[in-house]
Amino acid sequence: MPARLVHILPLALLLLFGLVFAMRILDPEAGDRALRPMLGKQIPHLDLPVLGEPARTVGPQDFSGDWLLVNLWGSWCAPCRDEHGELMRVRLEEDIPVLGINTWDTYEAAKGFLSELGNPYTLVGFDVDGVARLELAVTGVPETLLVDATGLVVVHQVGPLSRQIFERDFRVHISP
Amino acid sequence: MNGIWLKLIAVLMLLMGSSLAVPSSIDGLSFEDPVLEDRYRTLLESFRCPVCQNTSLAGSDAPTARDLRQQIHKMLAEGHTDAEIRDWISKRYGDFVLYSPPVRGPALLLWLAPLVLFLLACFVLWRVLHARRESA
Repeated sequence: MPARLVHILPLALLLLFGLVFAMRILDPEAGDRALRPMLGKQIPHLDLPVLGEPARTVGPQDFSGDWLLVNLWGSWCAPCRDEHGELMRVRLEEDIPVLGINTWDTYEAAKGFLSELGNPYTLVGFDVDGVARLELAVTGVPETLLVDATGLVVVHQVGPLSRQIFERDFRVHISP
Repeated sequence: MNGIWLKLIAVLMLLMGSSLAVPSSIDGLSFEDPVLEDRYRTLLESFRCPVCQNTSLAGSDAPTARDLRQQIHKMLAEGHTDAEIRDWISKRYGDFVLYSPPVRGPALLLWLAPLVLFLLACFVLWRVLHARRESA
């Protein structure tokens, strides 16, 4: 019996390794997580000048509710225009503050964008020299983070928000 | 026949030339000190661009890659070590951006599997040879 076991053991182990590797390769979340680096991390402290009130600064730490949405955007960015309607809806219908972070942009263009399309943000921080986008490990705009009361990032959305994405990925956290 | 060889050599020379053509500086960022410049170049080659994942930070045009190049340049100028710079970036963007990620977590299995399988193969070989000798 032990002799037979010796013959089976290598095959069994090889299959086990193969199975683990296959699971890792086929797991869509594993690769996906690499592209959402803020997921499961603590949101950093930021001091960004407020758009329209440069003497004042804002960061995620200034919000004390149960949830906070942090949305990174730029006035030049077409997908940001696409998600704007959904952000406006969130502002009107959901009880969540939205911190906008304007990045890769100019002060004037950012203000123009908001006066043209409406302002969905509780406050907008202006990312002067790209500190915010580096600290938040952003790879482009738009990106949206859902932050819980302890400062933990529970959703890192890369790309434009939509009603469908909000209901599928955000709603489960804010009103389970 | 000669023509083909000449063409082949020309193509090879072109290929070699393209891989040797190193730009004198990227984004106008460089160091006067050759040691720092060398460390800067090596660091840029050691990170994957988080946006276009088939390129290193040195070869990517993505705005994020530009940000990270500036950050690395700044940290080098401030006197940070290579390890501190790697930590700074991987803490934010994850091990995923490192071309040689640390051996921990799932990566450990990747490194250990061949060793375990090799030792097992040795053991099986030993058992088989042993069994043959006994039956002979």
